[in-house]
Amino acid sequence: MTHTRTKNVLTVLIVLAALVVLPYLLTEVQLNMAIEIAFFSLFAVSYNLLLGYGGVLSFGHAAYFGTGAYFMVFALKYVAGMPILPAVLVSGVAAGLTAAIVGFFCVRLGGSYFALLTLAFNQLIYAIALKWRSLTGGDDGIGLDKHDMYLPFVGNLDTMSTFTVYYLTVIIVLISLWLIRFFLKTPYGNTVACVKDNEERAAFIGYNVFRSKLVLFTMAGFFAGIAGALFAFFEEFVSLDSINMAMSTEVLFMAFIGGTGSFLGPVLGAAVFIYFTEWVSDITEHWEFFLGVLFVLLILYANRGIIGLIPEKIKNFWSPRSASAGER
Amino acid sequence: MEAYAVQAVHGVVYGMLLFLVTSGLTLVFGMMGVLNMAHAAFYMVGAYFTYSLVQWTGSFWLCLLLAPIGVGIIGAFVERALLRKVHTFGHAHELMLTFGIFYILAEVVKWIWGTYPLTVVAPDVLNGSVPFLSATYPTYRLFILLVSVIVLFILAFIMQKTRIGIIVRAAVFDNEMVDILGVNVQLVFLGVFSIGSALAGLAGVVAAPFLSTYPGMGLEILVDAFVVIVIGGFGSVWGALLAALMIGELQSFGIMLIPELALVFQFLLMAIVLVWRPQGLFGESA
Amino acid sequence: MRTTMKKILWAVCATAVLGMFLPAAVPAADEIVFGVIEPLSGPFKDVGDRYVNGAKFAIEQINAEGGLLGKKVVAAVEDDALKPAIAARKAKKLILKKKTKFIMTGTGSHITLSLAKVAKKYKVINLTYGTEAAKITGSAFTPYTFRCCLNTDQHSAAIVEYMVRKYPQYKKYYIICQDYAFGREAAEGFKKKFKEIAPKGARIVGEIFHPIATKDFAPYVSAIMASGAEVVLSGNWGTDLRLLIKHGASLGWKVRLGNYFLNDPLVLQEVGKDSIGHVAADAYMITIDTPENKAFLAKWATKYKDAPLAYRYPTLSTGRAYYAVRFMAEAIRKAGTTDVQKVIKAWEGMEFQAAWGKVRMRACDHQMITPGVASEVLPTSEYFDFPYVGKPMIIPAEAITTPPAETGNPRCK
Repeated sequence: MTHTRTKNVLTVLIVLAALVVLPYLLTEVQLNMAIEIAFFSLFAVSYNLLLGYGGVLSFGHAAYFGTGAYFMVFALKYVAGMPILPAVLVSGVAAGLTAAIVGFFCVRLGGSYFALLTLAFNQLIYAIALKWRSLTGGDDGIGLDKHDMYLPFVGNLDTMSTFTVYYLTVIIVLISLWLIRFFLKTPYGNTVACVKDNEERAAFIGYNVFRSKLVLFTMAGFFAGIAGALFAFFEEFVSLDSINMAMSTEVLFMAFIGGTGSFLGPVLGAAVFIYFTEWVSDITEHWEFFLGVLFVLLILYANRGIIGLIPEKIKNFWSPRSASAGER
Repeated sequence: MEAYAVQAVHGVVYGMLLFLVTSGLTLVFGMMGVLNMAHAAFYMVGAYFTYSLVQWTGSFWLCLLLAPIGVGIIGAFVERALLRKVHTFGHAHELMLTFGIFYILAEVVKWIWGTYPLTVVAPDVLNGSVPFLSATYPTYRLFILLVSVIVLFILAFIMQKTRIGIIVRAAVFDNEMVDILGVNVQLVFLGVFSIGSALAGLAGVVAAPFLSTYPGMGLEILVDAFVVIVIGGFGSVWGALLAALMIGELQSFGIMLIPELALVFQFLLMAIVLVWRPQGLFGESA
Repeated sequence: MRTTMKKILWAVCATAVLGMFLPAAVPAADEIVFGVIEPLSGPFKDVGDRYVNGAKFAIEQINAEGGLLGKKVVAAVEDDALKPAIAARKAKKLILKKKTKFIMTGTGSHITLSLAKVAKKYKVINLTYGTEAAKITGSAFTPYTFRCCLNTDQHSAAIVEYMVRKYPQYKKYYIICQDYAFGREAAEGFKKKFKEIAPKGARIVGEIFHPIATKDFAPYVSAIMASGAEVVLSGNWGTDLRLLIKHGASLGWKVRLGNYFLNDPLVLQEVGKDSIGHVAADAYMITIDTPENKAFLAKWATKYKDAPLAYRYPTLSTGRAYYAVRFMAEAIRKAGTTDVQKVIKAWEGMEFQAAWGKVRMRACDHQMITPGVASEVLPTSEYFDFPYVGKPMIIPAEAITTPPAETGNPRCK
């Protein structure tokens, strides 16, 4: 037991150290991609709260990612002197509230109903973003104008520098991942997994199934919004592509390809996805075909995703614990 | 007054086309409990088959028969080789699988036929117009109406009056029991899925000359079809019919009265129905 | 089976990861790299392909004529899948890895606006030869962005000018556009110009916006017919354009349509005789009757003589991309260096002879000031076996230019 614990602490320290020195080892192009992988990781992990832990398939998660991204722009644009970190938080809260409203209608229904409803609400929110041109810029998109960031003890940071954006993104993503993990370990977080395994029994024991699911949905929305805010901060530009159905399916791909059965599977999935859009698209214009084939093969033969393909010995060393999702 | 009559007919025609597109989806969901996301891809493949068949044979009428059969065979393959494997994993996996197939087929279509729009010309007899009120009405739109109504009656007959319908519905309810009674459930599922796919193919054939054939056509119809299913109630033929007609009429009259909201008509309708009846108009409560 | 399959998948993934570490090509010192960013996958691939062809053809010609500043120009083409985030990433890669100082796109105003952010950060030239949103050179202006195509105001104005000049007898105009930023801007452009030059007694009898990717246009067509409109003005493209014309013709509308993108062989090939008499306008058109254009066509046709019919001649988009890249190359030549600040200085206010006439880069907002060309679809064409636009009317630049004060650009007074 203590042995495992030491190993875990050691692993965490190594990973943290690696993340700190990474910018000094990578080229700027690679660093840009590391940032993208970081916020997409958070997005995919938030999605996996639904798919892996909640056991429900959503086709509308981009709605919250996009809401977060747009609110990041609004916060910095319309509130004079808005500091960066509160703006990120505001974006997350806006996305979380949106998710709570949509979730109120969706989580009562399971299976295919849930999938369709989330898709339809995604379209509705997309339509609002498209129509409300004075606010969102419609399909032209809207630019984000950065200002410097002040941190106590550190001073002013140049937010145009890729280094700053990298550290900011990685720190926020790590904190978010830690919070999600922490929540899942709390007794309340445990009920969520319980609900997934057997809804009727959970209700019988006395859990409020509706509330558990709604909390999970809202939380997934909140963290998707944080990821969206980081996306907006990195891109300095937000358009409807961050809120449309294609983005919703991309996050499904990320989470499932990486592996819904473990906490960090979606992180791997985000990296694989970026890999596809970056390198495979250079080799063939039909990269989406190969992505689809990989997705279907994994569904058929390895439904714990790529992380499930890693030979047991290696995996056991890294992360002995994994969620029950996807284990069959 | 006449303007309203014309708009009403437009709405019926488009509504029935929408019904035709969703009919196979409704059939498969009603009988197998599988929401087939690949349906929209089957619809697109049907349209592209039509293009190629017209090029080879020169006959659009032949496509009405051959393209659905071709798509039906693809559907049979998907059910037998892929869908059956994940059946035990549950709904989420079936949904993801059919979505994956949609994604792959959409790419394959681009690979084979390219990305620019292809023209399918309807036979001359369907290209004209017939007198209607003080003006004329395109024959092809009436042809869409005719095909949809025929499909509607066949579908209603199969699902409610024949033994197959009873067996399949029983099989969904209790798979093993039906098996014991000596019915090959696997075969029935295979048949239903193929017919559902073939109906998607048929919709593709009918839509090809009307909506033109291009790579985005599947995705664009997917959302509309799903809204119809949600409003009508999952797996209900009559629900789908009513929902499709409502959307058709809403778009016809909506653009005369409140054009600003044309983009969100169907979603507003969906939201209203869901607040009132979460299981859809004709759905059994979930 | 399951385990074998798993092993195979694992092997594929491992190989794929190794592929990441293959070295990338580094440009030679005696090369100037033009970064072309277009959708080369997804539904807009055919749009992107044609811009790439146009830009590449211009680069080939420049090299054939002895290069630029004694260096060879190379095209570095990247696929953005029409997503701003991917476009930005590819642009950064081109700038940092291939050391390009010139990035360009023609598809999607949101792509140009996203690239403008990248161009400003890394101080490179951001050229557009096809994205028309007014705010690119207006409220979202950056000094690094140059536009070598019409904006929506110019494009709409060219169509209205043609209609009013050629058919002063028409009194009832109707506007139908897609319900999104571009469609709204196109409609604004139509109304602005119409108000200026409308014949006596002529008026706009209706204006309607339909969702993008509308499937059934019959309700809209019936509404247009009920209004008694004689002219329909539209900024539609893609299926929204083809279906509008097809459904309109099938319901027997008797109108003359004026549209942004009608002179596209891919559209006219499909719509065929239903498009006869309708009007298209742009900056470039292959039917322009000048020796420069004839020479350009001849060169193009030699290279693409075996292409499918709709690709055998330049199109509105390849023509625009071609002349935009030539114009930029001349600006670089004039600056005598690829130093971005110097190229900007040289390009501002510079004049250039395009196939359709003299164009100028307006200094304050970096919008190309150009004459427009407009023409209507004739039953036969010397180029294609389907109806195509005839020889255009050249509309002088003054008639379609937005005055500097109305651009929304703080640099223009």
